[in-house]
Amino acid sequence: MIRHAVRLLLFAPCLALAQPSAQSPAEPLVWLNRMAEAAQTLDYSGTFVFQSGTRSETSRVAHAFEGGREIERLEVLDGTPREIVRENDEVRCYLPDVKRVLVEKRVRGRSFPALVASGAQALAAHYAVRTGGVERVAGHEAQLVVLDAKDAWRYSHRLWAEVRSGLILKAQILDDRQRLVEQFTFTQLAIGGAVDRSELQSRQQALAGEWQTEDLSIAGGAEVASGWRLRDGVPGFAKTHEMRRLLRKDGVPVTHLVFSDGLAAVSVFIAPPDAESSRKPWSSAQGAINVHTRMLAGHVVTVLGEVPPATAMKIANGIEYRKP
Amino acid sequence: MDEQISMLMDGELDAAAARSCLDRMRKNRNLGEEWALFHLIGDQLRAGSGATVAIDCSRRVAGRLAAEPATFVPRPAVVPARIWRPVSAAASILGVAIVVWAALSLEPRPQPEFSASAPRLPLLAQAENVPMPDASRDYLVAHQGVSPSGVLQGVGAYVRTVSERGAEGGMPPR
Repeated sequence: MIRHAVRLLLFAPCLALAQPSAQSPAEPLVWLNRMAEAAQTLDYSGTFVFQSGTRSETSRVAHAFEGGREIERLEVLDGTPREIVRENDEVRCYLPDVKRVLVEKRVRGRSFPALVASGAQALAAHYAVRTGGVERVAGHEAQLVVLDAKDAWRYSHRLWAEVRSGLILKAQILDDRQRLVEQFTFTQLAIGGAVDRSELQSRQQALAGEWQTEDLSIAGGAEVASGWRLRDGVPGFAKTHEMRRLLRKDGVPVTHLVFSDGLAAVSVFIAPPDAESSRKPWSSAQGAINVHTRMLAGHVVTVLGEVPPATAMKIANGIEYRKP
Repeated sequence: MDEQISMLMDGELDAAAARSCLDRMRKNRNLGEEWALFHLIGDQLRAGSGATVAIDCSRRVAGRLAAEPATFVPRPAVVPARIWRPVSAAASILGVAIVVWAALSLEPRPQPEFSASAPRLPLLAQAENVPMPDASRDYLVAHQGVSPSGVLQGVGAYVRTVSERGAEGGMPPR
């Protein structure tokens, strides 16, 4: 499981240090572990602002853990009322503007073997990880954790965790010139206490009966040896998944490779072109997400991830096929 | 002098033309030397009169050419044409994206020290920049499920996938 893998990755090196001191190198890793834990187990509801490039959107989010079930609902308050509802690992994105529902299951039962084996050292090899000061965010005291990229192949991250629970109150992604690329920040938040049931219930589900539902989940897909591989990679990005997935309306399977440095991930989707595909290579950016495509002998290679444009481009150019 | 090589040097070729130019250079050794000569001329011009420049980038170019990906791939599956009709109809209805290129600079901070040099863009960097096509939203949702970011932020990380795209549609270049 990704979550367990990350928890292991973050927590394992810290077990020996039950009482992290201010100078302990393990301290920021303990904080990362607390953040992951808090995101799953806490009951909370609040309003956050998500800034991506020049755009900014306000959303309402509520999360509860009850009877062993994790329920989370997010509603965008600006523009059309897009909604994301998650129950355990199933995520449903309701897009009223295009009358579509996208269903995705987070990958479970699959771990990051490469990263777990090398543990937090892998993360520390590519990010300078440290704790900063305690600052106020949305009326709460928050501990700053800094993950500065050691090279320009990845973005730097700043995370502010609520001091008692570890819940992320604010998150920033910065480029190699320390310019803000993306920001997520709570403006109001209530932690603990009962979360109103109505906050967790989908508003769009009743309207979505006639909408087009796309099941993008891994069900039906499988880990495979596809023959596609990254010959010339990017330092620190190791392969974590190699799957064949049903992501297209026409039923043509898509090969999905995932590379991660433990914090950022890059997906590579490979499929023959469909009617909407361009034969020309193109790039696109939306906040921290960069996309780069290229044609490789009759297949469209689409590289997408929360990485700088050069990283997406290098991975796209490093993909090749060897008969498995 | 080969005009295509000159244009390649100046970054004026599109990806397809650049690729064919590189293919020609791969086949013809003289063209590789011409490429080196062009660089020599350029450097000489930039250095001004009186300065001398010694440059031999043929090895570097040869290295890049050798690093070009192999193209042994399976034949794409053939899909009956009738499937495309509803797909393209759906595509024309879908609303879509706005480019978010300008990087926001809210809190300028001091420059960090990087232990490694900044990555250089690959030679074939002439991909067209387009607004995020709607079709990539499905890929973005599929990506979010395997990204560690969701572990730290829960469903908040998915907010990217529903982020509103502008009224004018983003389609991949034809």
